[in-house]
Amino acid sequence: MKTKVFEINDPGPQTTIQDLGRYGFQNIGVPVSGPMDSFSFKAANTLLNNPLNFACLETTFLGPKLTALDNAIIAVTGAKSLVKLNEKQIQLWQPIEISKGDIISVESPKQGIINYLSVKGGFDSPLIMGSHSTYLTGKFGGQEGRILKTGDVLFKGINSNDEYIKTSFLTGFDFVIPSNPLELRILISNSLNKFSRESIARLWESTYTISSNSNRIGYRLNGPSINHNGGADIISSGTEFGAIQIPGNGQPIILMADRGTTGGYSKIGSVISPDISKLAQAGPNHKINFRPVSLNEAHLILFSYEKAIKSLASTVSGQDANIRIMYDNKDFEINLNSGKKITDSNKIKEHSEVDFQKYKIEYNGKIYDLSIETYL
Amino acid sequence: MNTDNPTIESTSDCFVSVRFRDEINPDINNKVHTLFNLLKENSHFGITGLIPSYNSILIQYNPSELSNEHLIKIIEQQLSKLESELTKQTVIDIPVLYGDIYGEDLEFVAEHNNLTTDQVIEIHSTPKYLVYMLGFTPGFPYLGGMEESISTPRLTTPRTLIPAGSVGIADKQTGIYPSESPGGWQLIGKTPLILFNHEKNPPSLITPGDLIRFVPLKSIDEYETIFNLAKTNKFKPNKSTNNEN
Repeated sequence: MKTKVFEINDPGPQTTIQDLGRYGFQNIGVPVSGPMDSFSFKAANTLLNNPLNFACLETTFLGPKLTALDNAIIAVTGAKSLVKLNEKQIQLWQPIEISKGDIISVESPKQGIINYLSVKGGFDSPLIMGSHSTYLTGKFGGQEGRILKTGDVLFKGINSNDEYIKTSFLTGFDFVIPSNPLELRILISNSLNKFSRESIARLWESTYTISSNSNRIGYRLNGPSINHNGGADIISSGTEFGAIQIPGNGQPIILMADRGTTGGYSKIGSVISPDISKLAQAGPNHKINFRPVSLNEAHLILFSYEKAIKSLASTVSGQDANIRIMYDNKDFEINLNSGKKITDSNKIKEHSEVDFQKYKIEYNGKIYDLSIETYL
Repeated sequence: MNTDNPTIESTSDCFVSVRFRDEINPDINNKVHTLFNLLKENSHFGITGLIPSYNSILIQYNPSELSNEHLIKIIEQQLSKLESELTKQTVIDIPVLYGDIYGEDLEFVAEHNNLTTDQVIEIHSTPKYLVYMLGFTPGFPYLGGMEESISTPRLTTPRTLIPAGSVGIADKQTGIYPSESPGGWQLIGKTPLILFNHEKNPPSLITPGDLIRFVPLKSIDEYETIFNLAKTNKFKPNKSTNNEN
């Protein structure tokens, strides 16, 4: 019953199947895996009106060459790569309709190193602990736990004929393509007092270089050593995506998607989530600087990134911003496109990305306080 | 008992760490697993991951579904129940065939500690070991409670491939390799049980906070019988509830 959608002619050096990750098993030592650049990943699905978690292909350094075994709609996001459909260049960050027999190739990126290729309906693979994500070290998930190879046949998850509005999202590049040097915004966490003020200051003053010895587990940096108060080791504890470990040699390692669930090196802080996408896209030899941010700032930046995806989703699905109107203890929403009234106001959660405007309104000789919340 | 208030720290924009006193001991570790169970039972929308370890628990959350302030309130609420809840520990028997090709370094461990191989086996299979945490690789148990009289330094040259199920000693620790991997531990035996299988539910035989006891097997026949049953998922390891404490 499953539909074959692609055959791999040439896989590229590291192409894997990933969904948003394998959650709920970190307590037994199973890493999350999932996309290195989650922004590009989410955009790739959103452009096709797929749920955010549908499996895509993640390519590193050089993408694959594929033959379409069926008609399909795809999108390629992420690095600035040359993407070709039957030898003709096509745009990234937009849906592309392809026909059986077409050949798609994702060539070497000019900026960034990772691309995502989504297909309407998602890619199918056996669910391992609830996820399609490939965990290369553990040899499970995705395509038999490994990188794709020539001759692999990929399947479509569902045959979806859902309507979607064709939209391009070229500004997507701005969210993920790293400047050089790339300034990573980080949250310092130093409650174990492993680092002196001088050591932390060194982070802000120095420029680091991403080592070629970097992968989906971690990005190693070379540069001025960060010294510890006392030894480098801590009692092993859980690891954050983006955590900056400082081992004994003082050279930072930033933990990425396939990181082990626990680690015993001290950590000086962590890269904020939106900047992890940019870091992932910055390949070996890219220069890195660090800048501190507060938790509140970090969350506002994260919300603005999420808002961009949500706004894209409402454009693609044809459901533009709803407006919520509250007056005289009554509360309702209307959809701007359809004019339909949606009365279920429980759908609105406490989002801090809500635009909030207050008006006074005169109706039947009475003055009402009217506030309008726009959320995306 | 409330003098040890844990440190709650936002270690990233999507993670909060709750860390108890900075040492490895069974009482502190028990608090970690109790808090883990409380947070799991009272799971809240927006909490996406829980990683218990020796003396801390790392909580992953989605800040646009659950605010940092709200999450910390949830944590504090569960922490207040901690003293009244006690996690019951399960004891799991792990059969092990010691020595020969199953544990090539058993003789070295015996010589190093001026013991006979039988004495090493007896010392190793007597205690109940606490599974402080699982990590390093899927299903790898960090065990506590080994007698120092059998501690042995790691191999100077690590083996490139250690088969799954190998039981080893590295300095004052003992452990089991749940999947094949390179490693430098002194191998003293092998269990026919499958500790981690990504196709099984639950995938890991052991959970953090369990106690395990190594039970020496008498023969290769016994090992093979259990191995064949385990392979087809028909072997039920002996589990009991810990009555001590």
